[in-house]
Amino acid sequence: MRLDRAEWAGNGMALGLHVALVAALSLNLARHPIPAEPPAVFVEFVDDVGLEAAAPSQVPQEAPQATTPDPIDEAIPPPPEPEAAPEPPRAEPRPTPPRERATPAPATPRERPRPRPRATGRLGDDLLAGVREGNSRTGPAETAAPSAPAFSAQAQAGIVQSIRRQIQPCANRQIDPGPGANEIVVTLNLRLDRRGNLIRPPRVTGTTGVTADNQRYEQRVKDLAIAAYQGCSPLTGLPEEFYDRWKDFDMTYKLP
Amino acid sequence: MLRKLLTMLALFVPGVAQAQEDDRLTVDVVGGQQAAQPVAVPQMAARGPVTTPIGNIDTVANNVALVIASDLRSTGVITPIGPVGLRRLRDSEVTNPIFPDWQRSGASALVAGYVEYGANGRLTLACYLFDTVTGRELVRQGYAVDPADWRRAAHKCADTVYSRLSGEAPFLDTRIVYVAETGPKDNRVKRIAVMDSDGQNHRYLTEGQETVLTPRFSPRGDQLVYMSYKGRRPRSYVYDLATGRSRLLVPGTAFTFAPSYSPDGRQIVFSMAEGGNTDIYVVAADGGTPRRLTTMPGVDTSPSFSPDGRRIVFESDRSGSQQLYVMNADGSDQRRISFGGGQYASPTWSPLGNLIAFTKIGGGQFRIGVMAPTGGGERLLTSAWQDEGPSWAPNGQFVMFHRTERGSGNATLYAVPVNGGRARVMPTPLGGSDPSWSPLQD
Repeated sequence: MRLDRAEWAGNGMALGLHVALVAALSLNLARHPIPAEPPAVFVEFVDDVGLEAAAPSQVPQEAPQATTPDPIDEAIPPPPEPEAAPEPPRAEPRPTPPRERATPAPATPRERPRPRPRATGRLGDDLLAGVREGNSRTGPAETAAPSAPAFSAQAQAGIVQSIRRQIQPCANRQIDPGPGANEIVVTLNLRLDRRGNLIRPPRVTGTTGVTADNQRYEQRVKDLAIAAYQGCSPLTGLPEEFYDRWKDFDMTYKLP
Repeated sequence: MLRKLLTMLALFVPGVAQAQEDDRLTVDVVGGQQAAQPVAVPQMAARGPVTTPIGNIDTVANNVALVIASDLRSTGVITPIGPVGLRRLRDSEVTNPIFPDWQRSGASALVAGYVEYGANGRLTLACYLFDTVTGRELVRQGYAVDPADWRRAAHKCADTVYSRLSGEAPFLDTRIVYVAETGPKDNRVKRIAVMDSDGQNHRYLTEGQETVLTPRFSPRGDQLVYMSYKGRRPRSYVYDLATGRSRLLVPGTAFTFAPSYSPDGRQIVFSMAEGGNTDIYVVAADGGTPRRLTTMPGVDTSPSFSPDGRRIVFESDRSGSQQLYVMNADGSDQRRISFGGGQYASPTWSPLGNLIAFTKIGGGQFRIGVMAPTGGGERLLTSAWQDEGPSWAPNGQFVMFHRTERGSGNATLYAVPVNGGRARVMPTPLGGSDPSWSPLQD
């Protein structure tokens, strides 16, 4: 059967649109994470401990990566050692438990980042307003193509500074676990929605500076990196027109 | 056609992903502080029967939290908040805490859990640690114990929290053996005593008729070696904690002192005075013929094995004053490592192998210090009038010693963080000296 020109054109257009549709769907899938899975519990305990749901995280949970599982502790302390003391104790240990000293008054509530764009600090909200306009040498934003705003070095620097400025207070609150821990650099990958919320938990994608001497602090510094980010998130005030550039970014963290 | 299309897409999509990865923004953040970490330790939740062999279950739950908080405070790197002044943990919060409540207490982490007296007569302590900022569960452990051993379950929980937050190995569920001292300075009664690391479950092992010195735990914690003046002769003994029986380390009348175990527990190294010379010997822990390791004129004493068992540090006055030396475990390659001025005594090798603790004598003071096994990097950890007799915590992060008061001569046990910080008093019912930290209990 021979096809006439109109049929060739129609079939060609249909094929092209199908290709475009499949490509669009594939890209869309590639950009979005797999839906969250319920948290897995790796650790077993004495029978009636820890079989309940874990605490909900403040971000969607994902299945833990295949890292070293927490230690399984099945150790049940042995019965009291029948030590034969040659002489009965002359001074009985006090039966009362150690007394707590007066609990210090709760510190002032942890400083939380404001949920809305802040105007504090040396860098004001106008920082990103300028960035949004693109490189000033190229003229005002209106002259740029509305679908693809220019992402200049200045714009990139502005976003980086804005993120750092928001995370820094929480980074400063992290506690150095010990000598040599400050040589460890943890890289987190962070994926955000347009409102600056995490769409999946921070993922540790790299660690450098770990040595035999500071290896015992590696897990803790990973914890601190995650806490530094999450304690001051969600991020606010990032330019929406550059969402594609900050929706998926890396943060390195180290102790001073 | 479809196949070609999918192939093209497969090539195309990773390319996009790679390009995106290459262009990904990176934000570098540096921040942190040197401080103790505030951790909330509320009263645990209580489950099961109200009445237990050790009292009301609510009281037990509170006492467990008190012990955990006390243990964590003793680490120096954690500041516990509670249980006094905090609301008790609700049962529903054991695995699902209301984090804003605990954040408001100023805590960056929360110790949660419950205590349950089961039908099997066992007490279960469930121990959870949460990051209050991220809501992440950092660790969980559970312990089932005889109710009488509830303190050990609390120590285990505290160890779990300390280890997870500090990165260091646990050390709280340990015991301490030391010389308990009573009476006036010129007629002091000295007995060997053993207690938990928080001073509880204290008991005496010797009666006090003879002066005893330098008790040391075996690596398994089931035996001690010590020196006693029993029969008016200074000799070393091995004491079995399970039976309460002791035996001479080296049968005979030779003076033997300053004994300590090898890391595998199979050997005991000690000093023996013979023919006017004091040298270091090693003998099998279950008996046998001692083997001499040093031969130089002078007093060689206070030997201590390295954790790999391949070397021994000791003190010797062969140069004219007390100094520290390191040798191979067979006595070869003896080298002096202390050159800092003054005298050095009672060295003991860190369980981590990286440091040697010692007593430094000079300027009218006895001070505790550490140095590298090669002799460099000397740091003094204390500066009181008379601090001596260092002993390492099993995680190598603390050095315990005894401090003697000028005038009264009363001695007290202290522990000081090896990385700097204030020494804290180790609670003992009476005066104490010559402490030795046990290994971590099973």
